[in-house]
Amino acid sequence: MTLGQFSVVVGAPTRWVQNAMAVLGLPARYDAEGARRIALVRVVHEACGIPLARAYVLAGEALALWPARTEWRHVSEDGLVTLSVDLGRFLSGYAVRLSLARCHYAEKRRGRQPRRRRRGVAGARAYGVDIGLLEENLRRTPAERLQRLDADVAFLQSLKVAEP
Amino acid sequence: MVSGLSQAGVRSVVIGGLAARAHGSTRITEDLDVCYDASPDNVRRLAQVLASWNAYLRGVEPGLPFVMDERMLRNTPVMTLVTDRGAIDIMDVVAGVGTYRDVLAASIEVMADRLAFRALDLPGLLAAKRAARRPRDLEQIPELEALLEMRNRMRPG
Repeated sequence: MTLGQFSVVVGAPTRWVQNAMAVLGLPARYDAEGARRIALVRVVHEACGIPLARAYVLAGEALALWPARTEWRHVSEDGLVTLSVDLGRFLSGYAVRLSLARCHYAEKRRGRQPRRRRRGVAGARAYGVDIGLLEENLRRTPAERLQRLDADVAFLQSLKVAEP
Repeated sequence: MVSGLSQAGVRSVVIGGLAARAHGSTRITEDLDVCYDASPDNVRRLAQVLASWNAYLRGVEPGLPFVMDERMLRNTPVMTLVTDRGAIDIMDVVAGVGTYRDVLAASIEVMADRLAFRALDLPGLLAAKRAARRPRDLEQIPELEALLEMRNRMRPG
């Protein structure tokens, strides 16, 4: 997992993650389990203003309760404030972000893009796009194009099934 | 899935690979990408229909806690899912285009198999690909630019 993916799973900007890990003295090791704990640290820290180091300890205690307990409660020393975390819902949100980090996230290309001298049809041809296929597709109706997509997907799936 | 969303009364616009394919792209896509209206009634309907399709998260191990309801969608409006009907990516905002309202304004009606649905137009798809700046998006730009030029040539003015 990259730092970018880790930040997606935590649900925080990359800079926040780096700063929090530096404050907590954690090594720059990015894995799903670490992201889960830091994500809860962020929730506890931002919702209640609890310092990061204390929030890190509390997050560890809370996560250790799952799945035996679905709710974690922490009562302040003076007994005036109770912090309650719905662990099922927190972990559900974590799972959504983990899925996004694995399936949707990709590092953005940084810096200025190489300038393409040609655009449109000429640029696409130079890039290697088969213009003949595009022309053929444009002669079809949108419905026919989507029918062909269905056929292509079915063919691909048959190949996947045939793989040893 | 497009038909199911429509029947459930979910307001959404098809974006991504399927929209590109409707415009003439030759790329194969196996999942459906949609931008949905984030108003409470629509989010509720979307959550209900996804739950009825047994939606689960793509790319994660089975058995993780996952609640598909309105509240979860409000907290995490972008999801990559697999359902009984296939894979679907949902989002409430499209980078480079905007919210559902902007996406809808930049969409056209597509008619396929007696089903009418809205799909993001070619300039919108190009704006989204450029804004995403991921290598897999950037490599689709030449084909979409060619399609736009060819379509404009076919329909001058």
